[in-house]
Amino acid sequence: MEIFLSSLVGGLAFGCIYGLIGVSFNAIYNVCHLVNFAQGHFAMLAILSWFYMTHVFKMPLPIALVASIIFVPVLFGISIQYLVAEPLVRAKRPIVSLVIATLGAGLCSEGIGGILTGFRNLFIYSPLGYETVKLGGIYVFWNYILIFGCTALLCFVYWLFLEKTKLGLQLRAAGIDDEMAALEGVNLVKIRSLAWIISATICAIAGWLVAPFIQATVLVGLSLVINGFVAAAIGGFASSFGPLLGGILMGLIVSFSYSYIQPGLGELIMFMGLIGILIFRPHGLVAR
Amino acid sequence: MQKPKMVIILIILLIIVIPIFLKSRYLFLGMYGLLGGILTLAFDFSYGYCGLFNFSIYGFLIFGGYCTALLIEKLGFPFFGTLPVSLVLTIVLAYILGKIILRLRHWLFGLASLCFSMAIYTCVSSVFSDFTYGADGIRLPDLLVFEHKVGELSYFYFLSLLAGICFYTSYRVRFSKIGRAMRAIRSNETVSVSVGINIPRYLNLGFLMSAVFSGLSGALWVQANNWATPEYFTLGINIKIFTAAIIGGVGNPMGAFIGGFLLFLLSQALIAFEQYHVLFYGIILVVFLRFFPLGILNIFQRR
Repeated sequence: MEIFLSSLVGGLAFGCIYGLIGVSFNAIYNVCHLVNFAQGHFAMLAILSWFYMTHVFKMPLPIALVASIIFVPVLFGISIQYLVAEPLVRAKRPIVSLVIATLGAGLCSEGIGGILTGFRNLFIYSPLGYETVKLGGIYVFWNYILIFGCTALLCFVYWLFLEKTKLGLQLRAAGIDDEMAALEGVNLVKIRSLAWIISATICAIAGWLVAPFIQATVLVGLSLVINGFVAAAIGGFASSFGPLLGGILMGLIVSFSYSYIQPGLGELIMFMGLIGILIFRPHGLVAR
Repeated sequence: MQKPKMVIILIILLIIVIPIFLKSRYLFLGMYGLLGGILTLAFDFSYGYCGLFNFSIYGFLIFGGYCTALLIEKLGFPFFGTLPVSLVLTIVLAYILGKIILRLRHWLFGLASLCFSMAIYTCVSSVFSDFTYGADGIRLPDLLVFEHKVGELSYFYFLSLLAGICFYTSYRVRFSKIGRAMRAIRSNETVSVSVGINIPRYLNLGFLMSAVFSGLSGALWVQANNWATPEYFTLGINIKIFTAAIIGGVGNPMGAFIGGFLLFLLSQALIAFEQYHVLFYGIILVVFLRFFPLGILNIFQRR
């Protein structure tokens, strides 16, 4: 029973992380209709800049977090948009070459990070430490509770923004029909940059939340991309919050098969299952 | 004699003569380059001809390599016996997989094929690690023909022969009815249906060909190293293939082969500067896709 509960909690926590990355995928996809392969690199850059701000420049934590989210993922996202995505879209290149170009932009950031750190481990100590709290018979990391809280809060704020504000309305309109939205007076380039900023922010926060639990190097970007991508595909690319469901499903599968059957098998099931989902429900479990 | 024929004969003579004077380290670099050329041709077959964003090159590379290694290790096959068997197994797997995932297009196809590759990698490295010896890998015996050890030089010639066959196949397909049909599908599916092209058939064919090329190079690579381990097969290989194909120009067998050959050779030769490689690939991908989408051979032609 204890094993069951603790793998449930662990699976939920990691599922929330994958789900957040998936949500950030869709934040771009729903507006620009573009799959961004550099998504995990936002998270990687957030971890990297946290490491630099606290360990090298010795800043206090809150300032470090604000500075690193402004300087790195947001700046990187906007520069991908202006230097890579917009020119290729304007030149009417096929969508696959756009995807490869974003992959290239991610590799650039990975290369720069690798030269800075020498591909060494980035030690991120959680400000909460690794303290646990006893809940219902099992010990739960405070960090897991932080993950649940942050995920719920972020999704709530994002939902409020999308549904209740004028800017969110413009964002959704640009996603549904960009020409019509432009005729109605939506500044498309600005709205697209807003989508990149939102996506980078969500992804950066997901990176910070997961950083204390993984051996973070600059190479973590690509594996986070794949996990987030799978979560988004399971949940559905069209829906804004479907990836959260997909991510949690994924986290539970991986965590239960890790503790009950064999490590590695969960990933196999996940990849095979995703191929099945892509065949039978290509728009994901939660279609719009 | 015509001029192109002279050039071809000259190239073949150079390939035969130059390796005799090379040390084994440079021969190994050459082998790596040739395998890179075959892999890039494989990617070009699906992306450049049919427009499929194919990540499964990487999966079939592992599959071909491990098939060969396991057949030699567990059943005691000779290498030249395993080569056809593992190719047939690759074809069967590719046929089944193609039937399943070829109904997807664009990046959804890319995602499905990436999932296939990751599944194969997970199988080899962790799930069936009792069977494949996990990260320790499988040591292969030296290659024997009639109880004589095949030296590096002969293996290099064997590899160049196979690479030449692959290149020739790819080149002939490019300028045949099949290649034209595939490129028609790449540029516009609706139009190609309306002129009577059987789309699933040609896409299946392109997918199969690229799987065969990559399975072949996996098998050859494992034997060249005498060792099969998951460490050789990282996702970085797929990134190298993308970069090589984009440098060489998509849909252009000559460019793809030369790009793959040079990029794999250089990446192995400059392994001391490994930390700068990723940045280099990233810059190449972004700059080429933005400014020279037709590849390096077409930069001068366009002006």
